[in-house]
Amino acid sequence: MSNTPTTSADVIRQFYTELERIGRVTENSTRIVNGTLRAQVAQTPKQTIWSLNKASLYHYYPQVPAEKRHRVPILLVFALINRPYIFDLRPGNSFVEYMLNQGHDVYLLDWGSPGPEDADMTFEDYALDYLPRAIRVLQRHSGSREFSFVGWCIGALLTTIYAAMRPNNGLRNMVTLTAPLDFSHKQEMGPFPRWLQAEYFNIDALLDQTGNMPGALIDVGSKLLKPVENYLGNNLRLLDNLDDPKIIEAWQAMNTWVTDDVPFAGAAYRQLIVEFYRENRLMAGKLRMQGEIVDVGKIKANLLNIIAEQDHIVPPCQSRGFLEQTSSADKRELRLKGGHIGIMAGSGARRQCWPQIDVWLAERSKR
Amino acid sequence: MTKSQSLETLNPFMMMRSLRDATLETWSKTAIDAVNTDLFAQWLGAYMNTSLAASAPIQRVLDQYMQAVLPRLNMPSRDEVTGVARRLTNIEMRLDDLDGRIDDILQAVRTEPAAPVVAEQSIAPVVDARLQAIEARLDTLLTAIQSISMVTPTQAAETPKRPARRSNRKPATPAEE
Repeated sequence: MSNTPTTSADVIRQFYTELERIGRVTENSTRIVNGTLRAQVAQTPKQTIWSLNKASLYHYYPQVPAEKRHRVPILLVFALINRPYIFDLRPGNSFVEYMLNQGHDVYLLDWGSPGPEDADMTFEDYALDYLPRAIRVLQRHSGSREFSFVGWCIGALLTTIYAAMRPNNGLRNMVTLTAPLDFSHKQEMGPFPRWLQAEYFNIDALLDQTGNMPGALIDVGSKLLKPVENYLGNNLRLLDNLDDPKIIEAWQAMNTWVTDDVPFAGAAYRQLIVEFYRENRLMAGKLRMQGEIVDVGKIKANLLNIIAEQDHIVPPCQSRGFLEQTSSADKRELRLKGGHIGIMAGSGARRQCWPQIDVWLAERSKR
Repeated sequence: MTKSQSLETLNPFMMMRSLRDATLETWSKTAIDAVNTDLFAQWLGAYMNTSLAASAPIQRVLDQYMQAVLPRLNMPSRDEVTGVARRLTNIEMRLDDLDGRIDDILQAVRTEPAAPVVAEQSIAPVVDARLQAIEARLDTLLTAIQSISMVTPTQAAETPKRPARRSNRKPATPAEE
């Protein structure tokens, strides 16, 4: 530098910079506390084309002309925990927006929030009753019998059940993201299998009182996996960056989604704990639905299984052996750096994960 | 080291932040290990059971009270509302089934007439051309037969006279008959 400032001038400049920062921090923290700094989530334009009970099927308005669009439409299926707008978190950081711009025709299935009257709903109802109905509407609306799945977390478990039970119903491609399919590696699965053992966790007593599994309890369970980071670290990181509008916006959007929890239908939750976590029925070939064994060996759609290497909720061991059990001729496993949610909704997803899904699907969505 | 870096190093807030982050990291690792134990799982289960046992009598009393009060206020109970909601869902399901069947029927109706139209458009000119060619040949044959019958009149008298074939598309006039 040509005119090097003196040390005292530096200190004064730093002092004023710090004062400005404190001003911004005060303003932003006040706005967060009084609720005027709200995150704009799920902003991509869409229309509801079907609804049944609490479930809805959305179609996002295409962003490219019909002649440049990929022929096979995509159906996004999220978990039964939290809301599916994580696929369309905020403008500029939305998987839906990205895929539309790449020429895909995108549909999203929203399971909704189950009420006390839905406490009897099971995985069978979701995968083999609601999902086929939504697919029928998608096929009619898009004019294409063939379609692709992008299933995330329990959404991937549901799409896997569907793919095994309805292999000839037009499913061409399936992307499974952080899918909890294999529950046999109890030692590698983190604390969940330990907490959910029958001798400690009385699922019947809980559901007898609550009907459905309250979303707040599921949220506490997930946060307890990394208690210090979730209850302290995240808030301190926000405190450190209260002068940065971009970081605040990202934090607000994610916090809105994390705290927007929904109950888990009671019967389905019991199934998740007993038939999946404790007995690993799907991979053991003992899961029965509509009187038939759910055989993943019958899956023949093209498969892309994406594993998040730092996933502490669904560790890699829960889906790494999945592809070998299927009959698909075209299958690929993709391991990416990131956590359970960060892999698709984090700041690096646009560079790392989304392009891979786009290219893989585009190559398999031609005539 | 630049001056700004040296200032940052001397900044007490930065030093406190670094210390805080290091402490949090240590706590985090310890906490992650602590929750992944049988002891924690046992405590979590015991905590949940105690909470459920404590809240169960209160919930039971509340339910009994509501069951007694709501009918007197001419209001439905939770079970009744839930029952109505279930029936609504069943009706919705049936409507969705009907919607699906109507779709199938409409699809069938839309596709059925399309096939003959396409067939007529593509096949009719070909058939017409072939019929005309056959008629032309028959006319040639008839002319040939007539010329032969003129040569041998006795044989021609024994052969019945056959009218010339016309295309189906042109109705025969009384004069031609």
